[in-house]
Amino acid sequence: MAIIDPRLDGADQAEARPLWQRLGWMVAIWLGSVLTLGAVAWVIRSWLNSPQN
Amino acid sequence: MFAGLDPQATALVLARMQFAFTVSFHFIFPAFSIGLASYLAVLEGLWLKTGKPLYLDLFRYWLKIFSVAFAMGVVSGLVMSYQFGTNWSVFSDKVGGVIGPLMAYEVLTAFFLEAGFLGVMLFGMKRVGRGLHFAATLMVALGTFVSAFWIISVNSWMQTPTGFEMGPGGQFLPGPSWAAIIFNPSFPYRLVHTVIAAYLTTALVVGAVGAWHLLRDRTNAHSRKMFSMAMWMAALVAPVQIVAGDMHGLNTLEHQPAKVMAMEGHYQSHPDGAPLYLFGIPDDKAQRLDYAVGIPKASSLILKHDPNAPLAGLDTIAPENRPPVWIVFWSFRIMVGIGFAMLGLGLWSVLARTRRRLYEWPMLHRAAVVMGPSGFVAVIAGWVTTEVGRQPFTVYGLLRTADSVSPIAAPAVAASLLAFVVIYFAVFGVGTWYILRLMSAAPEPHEDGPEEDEQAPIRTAGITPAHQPQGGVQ
Repeated sequence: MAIIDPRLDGADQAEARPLWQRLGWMVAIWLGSVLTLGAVAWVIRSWLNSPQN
Repeated sequence: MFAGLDPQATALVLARMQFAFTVSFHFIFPAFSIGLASYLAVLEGLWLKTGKPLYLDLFRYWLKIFSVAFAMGVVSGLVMSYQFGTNWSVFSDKVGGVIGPLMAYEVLTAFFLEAGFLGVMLFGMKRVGRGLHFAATLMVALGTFVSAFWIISVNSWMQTPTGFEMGPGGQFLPGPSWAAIIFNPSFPYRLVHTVIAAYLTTALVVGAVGAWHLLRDRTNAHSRKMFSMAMWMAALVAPVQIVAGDMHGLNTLEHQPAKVMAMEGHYQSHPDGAPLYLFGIPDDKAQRLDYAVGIPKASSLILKHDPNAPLAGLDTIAPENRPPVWIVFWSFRIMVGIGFAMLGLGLWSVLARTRRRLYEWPMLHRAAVVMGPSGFVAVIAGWVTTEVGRQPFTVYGLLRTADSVSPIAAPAVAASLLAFVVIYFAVFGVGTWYILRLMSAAPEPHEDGPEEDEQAPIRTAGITPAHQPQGGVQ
């Protein structure tokens, strides 16, 4: 028998939202992650391309 | 160790040491994250299918460890591309037209599949719901595999180069078919062998963590579950890996015979069946294996499936084209020895299962703890075998390592090597310590995930979620 974890409320609440809203969140988090990594990569690239390197 | 070498030769040795050091360090993390991403997908899939919170707890427990390992893999990987420009600029100039696009695909995969969906894995459960969250987990697992696909394609092309044309400046240029480059002759064998190695490495770490906590509390349902899953992997996948490794070896014999000669310690040819040396001290100067202990004709039996089949030795290879035997001979034995030890652990766990003692056999648990890091040793030993065995070439048979290095000064390479050693041990030492700290805590019911770690406390206003009995959820 499945035991209900009391902390699944967040996931349950998310399930109650319309699909377009959840997809919107997914795109937003995905984009934020990619942009964050892009920013880190850009900083490292700038450092490596700086004249003293 | 550099006595008698001219400055350029010293710089070459130092550049090789630097790449070997950084790539060995780096390889630890993808080897772990490839397997762990798939394990997380399995755990979340089982949670969705069964509804048992135990799987979600284990998912959250390993997700934190995965995110740290993934971050360290990304950071250590950046240094690889840095060295292509500094120490190996001639190599980059010669082969960039072929391997550049493949490496770019790997970076795109890391960005858009792995890193992008990792954010959803870490912070999305309460925003996107279970189904989309599981889709993100699958994308990360797929991303780690696709990354491995491209990197191993690059490395395989360096071992068995096909599908290229030579440009007027001596550059390797892509031929009419990229498929001939990507799916070069050793690629399928190398991909299968490496990915299975990553799965086994992860399984042994998971098994070791489970065993560690079972030694303290045999009733912990979470420890039992992850130990059981890991031992199934060891029992079922280790034999498959041995078969895959054998097929890879046969492919190497066909395309890179000098590497196999070094692996086998065959300095001399054996026209009437070659022995399988289990032990020996290779002497490259004298071109002989001292104190050799071997099984007569067994090497011919394994490599040619005929005990009397002739096998050529390094005496048939021009001296300037021979790889260093000592390193290849011993790294190969370390890898194979650990592979059979994994098989032994898997079979032991099967015996324990049949006797219903899987969770009640402390010797088995101690052995699993000892074997925990062995997968990392095996993948690095395998990597050393294949890379040193390719010497003295970077592109096998076509571009020498000595002709691939930048016109660099030895002191500059020595200084950067020293800096890498210090920084790597400091940064990754802290990261590894943090991972071990996470592992030292037993997984518990209602395991916190990354979202909970950064948000308000779960227990508020004196309300504490009731814990389920340990044994009641398996």
